[in-house]
Amino acid sequence: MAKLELIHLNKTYTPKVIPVKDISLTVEDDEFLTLLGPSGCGKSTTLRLIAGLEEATRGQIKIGGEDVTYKRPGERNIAMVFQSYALYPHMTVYENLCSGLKLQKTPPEEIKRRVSDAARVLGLDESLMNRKPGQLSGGQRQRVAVGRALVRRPHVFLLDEPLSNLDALLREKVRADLKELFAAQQVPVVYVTHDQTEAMTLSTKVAVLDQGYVQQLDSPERIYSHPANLFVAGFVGSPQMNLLTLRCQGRNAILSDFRINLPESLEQVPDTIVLGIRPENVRIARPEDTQIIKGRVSLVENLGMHYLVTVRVQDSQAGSLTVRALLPTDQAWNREELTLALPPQNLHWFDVQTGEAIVKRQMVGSKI
Amino acid sequence: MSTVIQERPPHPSPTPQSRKSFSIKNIFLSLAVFLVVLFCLAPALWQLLTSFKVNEDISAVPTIYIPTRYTLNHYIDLFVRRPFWRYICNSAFVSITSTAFSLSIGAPAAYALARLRPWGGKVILAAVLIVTLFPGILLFLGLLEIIQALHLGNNYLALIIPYTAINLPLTILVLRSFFEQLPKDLEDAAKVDGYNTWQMLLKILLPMTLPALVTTGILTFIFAWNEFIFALTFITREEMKTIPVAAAQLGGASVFEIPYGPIAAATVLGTLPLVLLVLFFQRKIVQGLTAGAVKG
Amino acid sequence: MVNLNTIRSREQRTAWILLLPAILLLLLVFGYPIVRAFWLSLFTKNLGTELQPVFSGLYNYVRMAGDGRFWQTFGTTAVFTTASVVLELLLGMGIALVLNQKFLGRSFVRTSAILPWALPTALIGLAWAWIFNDQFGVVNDILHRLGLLETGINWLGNPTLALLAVIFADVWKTTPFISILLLAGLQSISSDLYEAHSIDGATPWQNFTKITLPLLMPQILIAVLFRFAQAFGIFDLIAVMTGGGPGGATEVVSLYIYSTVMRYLDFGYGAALVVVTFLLLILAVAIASFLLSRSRTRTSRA
Repeated sequence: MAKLELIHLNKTYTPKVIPVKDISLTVEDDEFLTLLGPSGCGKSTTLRLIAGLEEATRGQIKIGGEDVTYKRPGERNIAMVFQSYALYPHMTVYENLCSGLKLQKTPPEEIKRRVSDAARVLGLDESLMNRKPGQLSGGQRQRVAVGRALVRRPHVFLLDEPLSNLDALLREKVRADLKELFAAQQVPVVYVTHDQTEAMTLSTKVAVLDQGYVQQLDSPERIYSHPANLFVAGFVGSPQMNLLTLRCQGRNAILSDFRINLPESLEQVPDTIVLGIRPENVRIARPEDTQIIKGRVSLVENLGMHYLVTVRVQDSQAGSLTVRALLPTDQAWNREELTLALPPQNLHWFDVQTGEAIVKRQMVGSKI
Repeated sequence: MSTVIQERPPHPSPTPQSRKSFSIKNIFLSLAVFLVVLFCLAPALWQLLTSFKVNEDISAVPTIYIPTRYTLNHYIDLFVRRPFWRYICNSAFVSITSTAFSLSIGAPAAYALARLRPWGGKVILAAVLIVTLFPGILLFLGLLEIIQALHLGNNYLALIIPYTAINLPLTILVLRSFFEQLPKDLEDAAKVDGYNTWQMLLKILLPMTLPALVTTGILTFIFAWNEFIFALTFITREEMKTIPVAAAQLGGASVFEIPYGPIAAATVLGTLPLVLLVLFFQRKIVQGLTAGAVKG
Repeated sequence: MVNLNTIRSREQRTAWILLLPAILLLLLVFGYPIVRAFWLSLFTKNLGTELQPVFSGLYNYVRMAGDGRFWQTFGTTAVFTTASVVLELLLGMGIALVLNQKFLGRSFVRTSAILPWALPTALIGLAWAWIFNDQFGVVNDILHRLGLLETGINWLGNPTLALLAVIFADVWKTTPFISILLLAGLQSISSDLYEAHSIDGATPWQNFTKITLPLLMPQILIAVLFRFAQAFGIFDLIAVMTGGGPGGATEVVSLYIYSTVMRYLDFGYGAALVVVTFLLLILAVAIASFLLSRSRTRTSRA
């Protein structure tokens, strides 16, 4: 219907500055896609390319099957919510809401209907309609910005970090509201943020971007559980995943005195490999655990519900390696030396050169 | 572990010594400021006083500073013996018109340079900057020829067009720096809403630019009002002259008598609109000038 | 694949449409007269040729080289410009430093400071002529009351004094304006820098030379450049105050050009004078821009 397609998009400013190198993806009607990544990864540029505020150097953009790559923003039937809301300061709230519709020569009764619909959904009171943006609170302005997009009934919604200017408490509430709101719209949504929580909770699909490329395009759950490369593994998940570069010997990776079995699917055993495990998956070893490591506790950070414990494991050749574990507060443990279990089902393996994930896991190792 | 609340020693109060040097500095400062203000206002004030003096007071030696009697004769003389009201209207008409033209030609150009990044934009900007430096004397010869050829002598256009052009660089520079500071988001939102460039300029940007337009308009009005060399050369018919030229050419009853009184009165009247403008808009004027100069 | 209707090319078209009226007007009023002056300077067109242009090549320039009056006006202009600009800069800097302090009635002072610049030069010239009047002028009166004078000085009738009077009037007119420009620059220098420098043990003079001057240099150069150009081409003030007299003592280049054209109707020669003035101005601009860009890179490196 109004499917959004990006085909090999590239934006080159100068030979040294290429924010979007090659991005292809599709967003279907009822999908909510988040472009997630650190600053400079190209997510905002991609959004602006979709909007038509920047011109693609190469590639195509299609909306509903129609090639809009060279069309003006106003001709693409898209609506955008800006980070700063970008409300026209000299117009009233009502005029702000309907400015786009007026330009499209929508009949006045239709305008009125859509505005009151949007106002109802967003909880914008009648009394606000005649005020100017300068007289509204931050939260109210944010809702007007969303409202301005809603009344357009566009083919695609674009949102550029719309929550980042709200304070933390408000952000949580608005996040929930937005999720409900856009689920009811049934139109592709592209959302840009650097906040993982927003990405994970709001979207049906997440595209993790870095250096102008899509690192992984998947559902939030799979991004978390099956990161496709080192970058995604290290970026998604807080506290950050433990990433350890280990030597290999035989069919084991060597961590100090401990051996960890390499996955069966690994055909050729390389010299070194990267092991990843999330701190929340590291737990205190129980008697039945076979894959374990032992080390000295160097730092304990109290995060409220958990302790983030940094453990140093001595390795004869590589010096010391640090492993962080998220331990519950209600469990007793030795504050000097800890034996930790690394459950095989939570291990991620990555190629040292390419950073790509090595399809997984298994195994039972034994301590020498 | 017990905590001890420690008392901070109280802030030392200023010693008598420092208070004394503080007020000496104050005295110097006030004196300097007073002198500066006096320096700035003196000539204008002197003309103001002179304009109300009777002729005997004016030509009295030693100089009488405060008039013994007050008279409005000089002012009346201006309007009765010469078409001073016409001069005022001429100046006003030319200044306002050229200001309006300057703004309507300069604002779009400023926007284009600020936001649309045209090819050769840097060259144009440099040219605009350099052109600001040309004194009128360099231009008057070429313009004189054009005006003679087109028979525009003693036509208001002969002044309006050059004034518009001379004010254009300042207009473009000031408005450009203003446009650059506008949040880009608003234009993005307007583009997404479907505004084309013209609609965006008129409906979104212009209302927000109003303060800058006022500032620039005041500056161009001042320049146009004060202009001398073109007004002197291109307009020779008495009833079309602008105030600076007319005042400079005030003759007396006899060829030996220089009418100091009416000249002073003409000065007061000729500068009154500007004084009022400066009084009300001084902050904006400084803003506009520094924006144009600093950014340039 | 280049689509002719791309967003960027549309932007370009719109930009040039918006720019066109301004560019045309500027070319007409600024560009044409300069080009015309270059062209006309190669001709002789005066009463001798019955106002018909006769090609004479570089004759006008040769004549200029030997024209005593030209060199005199050039010298007068140089003296006037240098004296004015230097005085205005020094005084303006001083006033700016004073105004930078906090005191009551700041906006009143600022208003007063703008007035000299805002008032019509011609009318102000009349006022100053009156103030310097030998019989009834205020200056003579004050000097007399102070006991420094017996009889009145004929300011505008004495070559040197007339020049001084004119310089004084110009300094009066422009110094406040310069001080406001410099004041804006002063206020943009963060006080942190002074505080840090003082902690290092700097005296106020060192603060001035090591922090204020270097950071203010761009503004100073711009102000100097503008003032130089203005002073070089000054016409209104001198025409009204002295008319170029006495005996040509205050005749600056612009007055000479004006009378050459308007009184002597010597168009070709006048055009040559315009050309030379123009070239000198361009030279000054080039030097100033060079200095400006050097000072800019210096501060940006800091």
